[in-house]
Amino acid sequence: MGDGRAPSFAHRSLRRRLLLAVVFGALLFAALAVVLADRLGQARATAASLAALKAMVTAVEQTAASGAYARDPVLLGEIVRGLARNELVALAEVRSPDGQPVARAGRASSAPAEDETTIEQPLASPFDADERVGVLRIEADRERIAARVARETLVLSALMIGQMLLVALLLYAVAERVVSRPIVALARQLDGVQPGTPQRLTVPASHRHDEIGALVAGGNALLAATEAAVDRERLLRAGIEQTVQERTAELLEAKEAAEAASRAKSEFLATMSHEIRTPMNGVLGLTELMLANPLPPQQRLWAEGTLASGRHLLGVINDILDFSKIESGQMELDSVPFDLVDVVEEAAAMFAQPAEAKGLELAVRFEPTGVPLPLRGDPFRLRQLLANLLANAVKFTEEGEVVVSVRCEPQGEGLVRVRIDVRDTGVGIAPEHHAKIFEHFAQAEGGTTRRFGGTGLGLAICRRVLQIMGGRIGVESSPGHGATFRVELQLPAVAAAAAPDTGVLAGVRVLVVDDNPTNREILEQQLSGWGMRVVCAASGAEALQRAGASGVAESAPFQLAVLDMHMPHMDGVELARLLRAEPTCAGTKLLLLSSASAGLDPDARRRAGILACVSKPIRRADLLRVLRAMMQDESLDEPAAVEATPGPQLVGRVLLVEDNPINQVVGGAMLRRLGLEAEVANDGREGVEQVRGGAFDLVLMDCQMPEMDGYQATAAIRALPDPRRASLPIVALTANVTAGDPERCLASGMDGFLGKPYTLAALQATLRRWLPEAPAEAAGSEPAPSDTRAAQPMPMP
Amino acid sequence: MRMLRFFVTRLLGLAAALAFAQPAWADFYLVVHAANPQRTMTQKEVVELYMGRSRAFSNGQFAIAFDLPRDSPERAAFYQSLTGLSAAQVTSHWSRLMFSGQSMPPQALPDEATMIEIVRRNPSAIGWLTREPPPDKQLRTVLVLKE
Repeated sequence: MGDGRAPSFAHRSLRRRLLLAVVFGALLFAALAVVLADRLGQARATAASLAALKAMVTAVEQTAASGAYARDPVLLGEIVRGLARNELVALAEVRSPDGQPVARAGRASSAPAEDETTIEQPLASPFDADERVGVLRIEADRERIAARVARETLVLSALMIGQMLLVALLLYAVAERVVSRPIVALARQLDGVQPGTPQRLTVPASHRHDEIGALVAGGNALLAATEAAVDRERLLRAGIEQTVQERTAELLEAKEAAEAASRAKSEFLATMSHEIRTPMNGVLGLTELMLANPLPPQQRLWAEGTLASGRHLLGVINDILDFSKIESGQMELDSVPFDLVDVVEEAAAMFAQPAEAKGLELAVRFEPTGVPLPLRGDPFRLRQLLANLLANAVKFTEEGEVVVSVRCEPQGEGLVRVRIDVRDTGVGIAPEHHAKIFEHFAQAEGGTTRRFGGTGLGLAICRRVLQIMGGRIGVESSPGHGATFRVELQLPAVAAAAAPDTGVLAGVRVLVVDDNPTNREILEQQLSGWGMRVVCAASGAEALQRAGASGVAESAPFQLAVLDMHMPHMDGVELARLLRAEPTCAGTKLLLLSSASAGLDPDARRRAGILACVSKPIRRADLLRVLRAMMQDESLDEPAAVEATPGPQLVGRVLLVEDNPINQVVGGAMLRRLGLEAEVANDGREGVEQVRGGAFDLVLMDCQMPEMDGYQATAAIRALPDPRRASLPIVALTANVTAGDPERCLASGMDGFLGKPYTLAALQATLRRWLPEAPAEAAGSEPAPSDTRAAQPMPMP
Repeated sequence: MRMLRFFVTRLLGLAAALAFAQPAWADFYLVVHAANPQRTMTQKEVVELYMGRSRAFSNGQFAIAFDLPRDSPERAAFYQSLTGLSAAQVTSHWSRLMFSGQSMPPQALPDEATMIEIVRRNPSAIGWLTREPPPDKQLRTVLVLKE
């Protein structure tokens, strides 16, 4: 069914309906009229027939009377025959007054009914009206009358129907002409009219003032409205399109500008990163090296100040770069398995020295205790985040303690809810500043920055990093009552490593001596968790009392005593000496909790009878390892294993490819300090040449160099024919911290990655993966640098 | 007034003239042969004989009725007296009956003298007269029709 056929169908339909209605109506009325006419006609025709017969009778009455008077059968016979000749007459007869038929003619009727169809005319004597001389009787032929009526009715009906049809057709023709045709014409017009154009319907002249005219007027009004609407819409659309085009162009322009700006920013960041870190590497590295040598006290103080200032500057720069990365959406999170315990303890360890320097207790508490907390996430960012919180806590706390409480709750579906509280007893923050401190470049008070330093970016970075991780950070604090920063996030759990074997510790009676209640509590929890029987003492005196009492009141003496080094009135070393003197403590093994900085002189330690030292904040793994060794009487003559020292010397020949002369000095000196043989190449091309010419065990490759950069140089080395070169370890040195750099290093064929500026410890830890350790006797050949752990977070991508 | 009186007088005079112009046949006499056993006859019996219904006297004897000439004023008066019908009506009656040929109207005789003569000779005859017949042994009056 095409569109074209619809109007003609409607047109036919309308006409047909009209025609059918008219014709059927006419026929109906005609039928009614015919029925009525039949009824009336029958009666009328019968009456007419009878009247005709009566007239005949009247006409022959006198003659019949004469004939009957004269008893003339011939005459009467003539009369009745004459009567019977009429087709309506079934029977005509004359009877004598006594009822005997005198003359008869016509068809003998079967049932001589005496009804309205029989006429009886008494015949009186012409000379005496009172004397009856006979009866003239006529029976009408009812069948013939009926047939005649039927014939008449038929004719009448035909006439009526014809008449009705004629009228109906006339009406139809009029209606068709007056109503249907203009409507059909209108429909055709409408079909041809394109809405929204100036086309209009035309009204036939004869319909201008009737309903058709109104219809056309209405249709035209509609068309006009449609056209107006379409015009408006067209205008509007044109306007919108133009606006959209303009806006799109503007947006594209803006987008390109923004992207260009973003690119420029990234490039600027990379450049900045590189340009700043390169000299920082020289400053920090050289200062570190200088401090490793004997210096006059004054100069040592200045050099330490230089190192501290440099590290602070590096921290500030890292903050800014981190924040820029977050803001530009370049922050990418790792998703690797890690142990939360390690991360928290490492972060705390970074602040062991600053905390100790201020006389603060720094403690870490886990819940649940004694088990590893293997999770999947970004340990570096988490450590950085904790470091930030700890840095603040230490910075704003003058006395008291800083406690990190970690609480893990399995949430189902393999997720673990991690809550880390960093609580301090510092100056606190007024509630009105709680929200503000997480803003950029904001500290609790304007004056704080001047008093304590810092960029004010730390907490903002924390908040943004946590947002990216899907967690959140909050603070509870009031001025003068310290502050608690709470970090909450959910991380997926990974398969738990086997719980450490603590069988040897089970049931061991241990005395814990610490003046700090938090530390005591943490130690008690920790040791109890390993199955030890813990007794706590808050001071040396109490410890001595408990130790003395143990031998008397309780049969079992302490097998182990854990002593804090720094206690008022009596420090750990003195307590150890006194405990040694106690007879009940003769078999008690002593463990000293020392501070990170003040590595105890081994001689003094031995004199005090102290078997081992563990630096605070206590790392659970270290404590466990030392305790197990003590209980198994293993040798603990390796303080480096317990204290934070760079570890053993390395053996090998390393090529340092570095274009910056100062950094050449730094790198070379550091390598030599690690016991390595160092060669220097000034750029990539030279580096490749040297690798081709000499035998190296490892290459430290700066990435950004003139002539040939580290990536190209690595590719060139990998392309050398000697198969030995293919497996030559190449470690990238890069000052670029933008995302994707480590990937790029590894993709270009390098084996490792070290960010600038690097510390001696970081260098050592990295190189250990590829280079063998020196024999043990070489370890003590040079004094190990004291502190390499409490560095600022490593600038890693 | 004079005119009106004049008209009334003239009208009355005309009416009187008409009344006196009517012939004064007072009675009609129906006569038969003296040998006829019929002594008297009813008017009805006479009508039946003269109007074609019957052809016999009441004793069954054949009867022939005689009439006077058709256009005579006496005859019209006679039929008027006998049947109450005009001469035209009587003629009409007979013309209907004559259609079949079964009956004939009474035979007309030229005058009353002939009538007397025929009735005197024919015992089956019956006739009518405007005057009482002279006493005659051969004639008998059976009915007198009063005006």
